[in-house]
Amino acid sequence: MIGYREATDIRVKSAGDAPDRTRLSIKVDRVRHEYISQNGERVVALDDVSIDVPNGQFVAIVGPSGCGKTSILNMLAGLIVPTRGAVSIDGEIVTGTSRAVGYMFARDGMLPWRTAQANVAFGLEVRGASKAERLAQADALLERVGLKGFERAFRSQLSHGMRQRVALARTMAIDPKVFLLDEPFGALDAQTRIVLQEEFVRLWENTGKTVLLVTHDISEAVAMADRVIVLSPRPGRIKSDIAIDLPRPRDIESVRFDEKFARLARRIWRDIGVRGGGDIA
Amino acid sequence: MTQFRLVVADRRSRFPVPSFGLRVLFDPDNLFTIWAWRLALAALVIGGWQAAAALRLVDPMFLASPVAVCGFLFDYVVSGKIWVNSLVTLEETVLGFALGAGLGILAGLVIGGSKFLERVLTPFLTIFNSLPRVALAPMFIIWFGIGALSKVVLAFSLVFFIVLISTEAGVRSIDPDLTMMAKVMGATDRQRFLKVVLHGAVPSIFAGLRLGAIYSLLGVVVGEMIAAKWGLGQQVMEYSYNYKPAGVFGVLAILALIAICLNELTTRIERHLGRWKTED
Ligand SMILES: Nc1ncnc2c1ncn2[C@@H]1O[C@H](COP(=O)(O)OP(=O)(O)OP(=O)(O)O)[C@@H](O)[C@H]1O
Ligand SMILES: [Mg+2]
Repeated sequence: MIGYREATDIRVKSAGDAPDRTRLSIKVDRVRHEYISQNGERVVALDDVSIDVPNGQFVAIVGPSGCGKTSILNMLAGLIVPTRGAVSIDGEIVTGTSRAVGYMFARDGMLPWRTAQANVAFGLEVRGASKAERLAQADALLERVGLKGFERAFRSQLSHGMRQRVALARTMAIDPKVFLLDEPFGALDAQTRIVLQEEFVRLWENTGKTVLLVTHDISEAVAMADRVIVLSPRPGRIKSDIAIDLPRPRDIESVRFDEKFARLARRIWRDIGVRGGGDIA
Repeated sequence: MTQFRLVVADRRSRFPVPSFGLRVLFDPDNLFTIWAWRLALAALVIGGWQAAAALRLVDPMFLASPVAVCGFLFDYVVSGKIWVNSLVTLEETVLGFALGAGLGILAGLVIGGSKFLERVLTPFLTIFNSLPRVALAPMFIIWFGIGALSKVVLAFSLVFFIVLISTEAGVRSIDPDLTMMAKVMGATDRQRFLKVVLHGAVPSIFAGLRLGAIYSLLGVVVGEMIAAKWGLGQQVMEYSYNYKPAGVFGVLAILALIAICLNELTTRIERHLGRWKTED
């Protein structure tokens, strides 16, 4: 498809350019969200949350379970509508799913009847890319996430970590402007998690894409993000907003032994309020 | 010390089997062993049956001997009656099956895709499906005549609900993670339906089709037994009215053969399409 090829060419050209950080990529504007629970009660999940994310920033959101982190991502992905307030991406209020957004969950969502390659190609396929185009793209991405040689493997033949890599490649394949990541490495063992964190950061650095990462893992948040937002227990409100001024490019593994890292992590632990912010890292 | 070892949890057997070094005799993975046992068992049953008939242990009015059945089948083939009747039964079966399966899949997809329709219709479907529809066979004969139509309708009424329910179950059993993934990957509703829902429901649809094929044959035969001019069901009735057990058992053998073929056919189609794991 001609149209598609043009679009990829533009992407290659713009990829190296520095993002225009003066422009807002994500705006969460005084959002309140309520769910109706099964017994008909109103549950306030989020209350008066505002977040502005400039183009190209990597933001991590942490907070206790049930404070509404997933709800924020679902709003940005156009899966739910906030009860009050609005969310917008690139200045446009989100009203439904958008092809400019890539959303990755803790569960891989691989189609079990498709090969890894066909799973990665899914997004391009629904966008009408030609078969040759999408397969070439899928193979290139699988290689980049370290799955060369597994193009023809089915979900049942892949380990947990490999499935998440496929999900990562699938999300990257659609080349979204904004990445929404909901605990994408949460279900993995500690080692695989670090490997994938590193891979993601390596693939993301210099792309100028905006990332919103929800995680329970504070080390992950500090190691990966430019900025960490701490939410309070339900109803989620913004408790603190901390800039992570660790240099880039970052080495996810060794940055954990940095003194600054420890200080930032301790600060976040304290804000979350699990303990006095004592011994971590 | 015991003379034999217990082969505990051998991968080949589901439970410990005493091994006398003759394991090949009970090897569940040895095709030769399995067929040898099958033939031996069949020979035992048929031989016992023949012996019982030869020794006049059973009144030949009630039970024909295997030799008598074979003789009947020979005449049946030679006279050509086998083709006329089998063809009628097969035609009705295939027609009832095709209509029931086609519309059943369609209805199952529509109902499975709509929570509203599903909620409204579920009680009716349960009632219709648990109703023994073969009991309605006499009514179908009254409504649709003694020709092929009444048999096709009866087969249809069985196949339709079986396929509808398994299709609906297949649609509903799809992992919501997968549809959610497709949605956030930018798939349109139509793409989501074709590439995820339909594809994911295939195994369940096929389970319904396999069952439906057998029930189609059942419906047709019952219909023919009640009132028909031709067909294997009508033949069973005719031979039993005329006290010809060899004819009854002979026709039953033909029906069994058709049922096996139908099952084999659907299994093969499934296996063929069963490469539903797309490669690209
Ligand atoms: N569909 C729903 N119906 C009713 N209540 C819901 C629904 N979805 C979420 N909630 C409630 O809203 C609150 C926020 O949910 P959300 O999934 O956004 O939290 P979270 O911060 O992502 O939690 P976790 O860290 O455990 O994933 C929770 O208390 C949850 O019980
Ligand atoms: Mg969550």
